[in-house]
Amino acid sequence: MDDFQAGEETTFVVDDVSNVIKESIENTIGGNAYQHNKVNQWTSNVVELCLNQLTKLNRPFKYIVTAVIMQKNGAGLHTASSCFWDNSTDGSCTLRWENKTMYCIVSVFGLAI
Amino acid sequence: MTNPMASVMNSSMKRRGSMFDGSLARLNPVGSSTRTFGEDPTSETFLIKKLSTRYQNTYKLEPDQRFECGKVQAIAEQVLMDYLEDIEYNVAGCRQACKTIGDKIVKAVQNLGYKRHKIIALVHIGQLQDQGIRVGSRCLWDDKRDNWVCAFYEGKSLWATATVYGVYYE
Repeated sequence: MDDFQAGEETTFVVDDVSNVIKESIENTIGGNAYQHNKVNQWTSNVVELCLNQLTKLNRPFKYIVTAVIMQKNGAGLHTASSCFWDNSTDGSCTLRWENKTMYCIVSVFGLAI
Repeated sequence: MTNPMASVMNSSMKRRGSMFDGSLARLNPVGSSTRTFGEDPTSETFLIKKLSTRYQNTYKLEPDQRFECGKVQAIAEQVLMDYLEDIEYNVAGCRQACKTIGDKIVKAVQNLGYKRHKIIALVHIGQLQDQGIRVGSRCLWDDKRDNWVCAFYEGKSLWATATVYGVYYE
């Protein structure tokens, strides 16, 4: 009995997702300096753009996208995630982006349906 | 009289924290990025992941036990308090604490008895230093069966957030 589906993409592909995230960030905040009154809008935009592009990939996944934008001030930040899922089909991708005034960390978790 | 802007620039450069080493000081004006993998990309398990088994449908659309936000939030807050109460921010300790808190939260939520839910716990711990930070998240999932909670803790020199997502797996 053929249990393995090698042709159909039912596993989380990190490379595609990582490119999607990078483009979303650069299109939203690339080249901007940190502004406190805009950061709210930026986080929403980054996350929404990411999610829209991920849906266009047309894969059978549920997505969770989290974005953190932090001003560069010398302060430290630690992020960790712990997941209970099916390791063969689900996966996560975290991209850390920075420019001269801020850091942006986007995590995408993909859970197979 | 020295140029005030120059002296401000010099002083702020010297006070800058050492989160990244000096070799990264010259950044592309648009930005640069680093990618993090969940597993080592050269390891065998990463490559073998490509083949996965397809299970037959169970036709069980509704979970036996809904994701209870109140209980899970209480758990998340309790774990954060236990680990971070009265702790001073330090790099090594908080790095370890971050991972441990995530694991603890996932195990505690599992103990509530969710058999068909996938659980993700995301923990951020940051230093309090008058900086601005914004955390946002959006999800593409089944609104009726999946849910999330968020817990926040603020200490004297650090702040922490824990976000727990529960996704039903049919």
